[in-house]
Order: sequence, then structure tokens, then C-alpha cells
Amino acid sequence: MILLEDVSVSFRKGRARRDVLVNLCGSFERNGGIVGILGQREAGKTTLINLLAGNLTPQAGKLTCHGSVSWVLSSHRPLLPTMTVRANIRFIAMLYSASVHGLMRDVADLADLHDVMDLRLNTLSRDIQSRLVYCLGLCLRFDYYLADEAIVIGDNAFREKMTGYLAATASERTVILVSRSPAAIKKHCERAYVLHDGQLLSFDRTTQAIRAFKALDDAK
Amino acid sequence: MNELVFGAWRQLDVLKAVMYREALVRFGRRSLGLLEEIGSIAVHIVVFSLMRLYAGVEVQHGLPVLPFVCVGIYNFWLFRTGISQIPTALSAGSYRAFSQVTPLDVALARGAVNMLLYIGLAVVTFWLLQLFGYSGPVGNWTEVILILVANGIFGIGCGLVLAGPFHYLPFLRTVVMIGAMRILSLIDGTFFLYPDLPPNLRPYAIWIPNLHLNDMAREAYFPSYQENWTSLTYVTGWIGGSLLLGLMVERALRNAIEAKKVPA
Repeated sequence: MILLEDVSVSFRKGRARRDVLVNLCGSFERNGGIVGILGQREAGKTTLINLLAGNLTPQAGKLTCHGSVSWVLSSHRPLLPTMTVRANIRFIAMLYSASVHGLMRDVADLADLHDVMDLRLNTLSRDIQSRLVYCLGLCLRFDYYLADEAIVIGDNAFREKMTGYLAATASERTVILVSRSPAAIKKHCERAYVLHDGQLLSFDRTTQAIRAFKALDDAK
Repeated sequence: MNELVFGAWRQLDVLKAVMYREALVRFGRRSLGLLEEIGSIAVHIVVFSLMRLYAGVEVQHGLPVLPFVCVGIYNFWLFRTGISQIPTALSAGSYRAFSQVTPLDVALARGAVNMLLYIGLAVVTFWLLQLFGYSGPVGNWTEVILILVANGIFGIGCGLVLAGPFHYLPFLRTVVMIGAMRILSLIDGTFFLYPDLPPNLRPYAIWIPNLHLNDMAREAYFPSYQENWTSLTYVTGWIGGSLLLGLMVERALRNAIEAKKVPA
């Protein structure tokens, strides 16, 4: 379980201080399927994702995490463009104490990368890089996955394949999707929060969260 | 106890993984990879050897010029590379996706890659010098290697300490790498021995820890050379002190780097 208790994060820009998350509380269960977090522009969605990924530490409050958390699925940051596909997979397998050969085989199968394993990443298309980083995350079997705006990436065929894969294996993991698009949340999520004024508002149903989000958006 | 062992094991895995990536990045950055590294060391060895020959010193205290300069260059190289590469490791952004990799892990992995590379090259060079008759047998291999390791660790310590000033005053990096390192290469005994110095300079020279390490290395390498002025306590104090201070600087700097990192 991931538990956020009165978590606060602020940033300084010059002399001005901006409170992004203020005494935020919330929790995410293991094997909870796809959970959405709706938030307007600059509501602190990326900050929250960075916090959950362990890239930021809260300035106040407590973040407890039992279980492994992935990197942001759509991010290419885990990859190094000057290394080959094989070397990137080997590095990540070593980093997460996974079987190098097992991960190599699983990723090549899932992302269909058998032909490009020994090519440098910077010689490959963006789509192939996206497939690699995405499938690497899935094959490592984290307890929690983080998605910023998009739950699937890459070309249409790959998106379709992954949407099916995620739907079929949804109960094996928790995917936390942050977005400002109610349509995306409605399409993928079973449960949703709304991030507003640095607070996480909880709703039992996605439709309730979307209604509240739209009301807040209109009021703004 | 189990958690401690598990944590230590995971930490070791992280270090091994970062070392693997650092090694690939290091050779990938240069067009000729390892050959370019060897080439730049070879150029320095040749230049310093010629300087010594030009000064009319071919053999002194029973030390032939080529192995003499090689010992000095490898010791200096290990220290210099630490100073140049460790500070940038602390602000490296390429590991931000991985929360388990701390800036200190990157710094230590980079330092370990440097040490393995240069100590490996040094051993091969010393062995080749013996094979082709440019050098007599190495007096004490263990001591020579330990002194190279000490230089590497000293470089890591000083690199960590300098990461602080380099972070707040970036121009200082250029000053240290171009100015201070050049001066150090001339005064740390890379191409001379302590007894070669004029007597009025010696009281100042004994404060330079690198000069102690160089003379210790030459005593270990050349059985015919005996020195009686170096202090192991003094050198250990410098290495330990720089590491301790460096770790404090890294911890203080970690928050400052993180605060700059992510916009809302």
C-alpha cells in the first residue's frame, strides 16, 4: 500500500514560494487496477507522480510505500540513447536484481524487438524507444505503475495491443494515471481522485470524480 | 538483520549496474573508446619522459626514466580523473528515473570505473616495460597497486569536496582543472623525486600529499630507491579527511540539487 499522510511540497522560484501539495492525504492499494487522478494544469499532478516515484521527498508529512513503484511509463528517461537496446535492458535488469536473460527475452517478445537488440537507441525511431521503455516497465512486474497523461504510448498497433494486455492483467497491479482529460480517466479507470488546491479529493466512482472536476473547472 | 543483509545486497546490485552503465558511457563518449584513453596517457608519458631526458637525467637513484615517469603519471591520472569526474556525477540527471540510485552511488561507481581502468592499464604498462627491458622487476606489486588505489580514493574524496564549490561557482571548475591541476602536475613529483628538489623548497614540498604518495610508489616499484621522509599517517589523514568532508558535502548538496530538479 502507498499511504500519503499530510504531505506538503512547495517550490521556490526566485523569492516567491509556491505551495504545490498542501497536507495531502490519500492511499493506493496493491492490485487495485487503474486509478485515475484528475487535475487541472499546474495542479501538481507531475509533482505528485514524482513524489510517488521517489524522485522527490516531501517537505512535510509522511509517505509510506510498501511495494515496488515503476518509473513514469511514458518517460524515456530510464533509457540511454548511446547504448544498445541489449545494454539498456541489461543495465535495468542489473539495477532491479532481475534475471538479465529472462528480462531480455520477455521484453523482446512483448515489444517485438528481436531485430533491433544490438542497435543503438539513437538510431531507432521514437516509437521503438517508447515500446522498449514501456515493455521494460511491464516485464519488471512492479506493484505500482505511474502514468502521466497517457497510459499507453507508441504507434496505433502497439497501443491496441497494450490496452488489451493491461485490461487482461489489470488485477495484477495498480496503475496510477494522472491526467487533465476526463475522457482518458473515464475510458481507463475504475476509481478516480481529483487533485485540487494541493489536496486529493476521493470519490467512489469515476463519474462522480469527473463531475466534481468539471464543476471545479467551470468555477475557475 | 535480514533487512540489513538484503539492503546491502541491493546496494551492491545498484553499484554494479551503475558501474556497468558508466563504463559503457565512458567509452561510448569517445570515438575510439579505450584507445583514446590509452593515447592521452601515452602522450603525457612521452612528454614528461622527454622533459626529463632534455634536463639530462636518464637514470637517477637507479631509476630508469620510462618506468619512473609511468609511476608518476598513473598516480597523478587517478587523482586528476577523480577531481574532474566526481563533481559532475553528483548533478548527473541521467539516473533521475531511478529513485534507488543516489548521486553518491553514481560518484562511487564512476570512481570505481576510473580506478579499475587506470590500475588495469598501469599493471599492463609496468608488465610490458619489464618484458621489453625498459624496467627491472617491480619491487613490491601489492604496495604499488595499493598506492594507486589510495590515489584513486584520494581523487574521489577531493572530487566530492570540490563538488560543493563547483556547484555554486561553476567557473571554479575551469580554474581548478586548467590552472590548479597543471600546477599540481608540476609539483607533485610526477617527473622528479623529493631529493631532487632544492633544499630551500623541501620544507614546503613536504605538505603536498601527492608527493608523499609518488615517492612511496617509487620506493615500492624500484628496489634500489629508499626514501625516509614520507609519512603514511599524514597521507592517510588527507585521504580519510577528504572522504569524510566529501561525504558531508554530498549530503548537503543532495537537497540543493533536488530542490532545483522538478517544476510543479
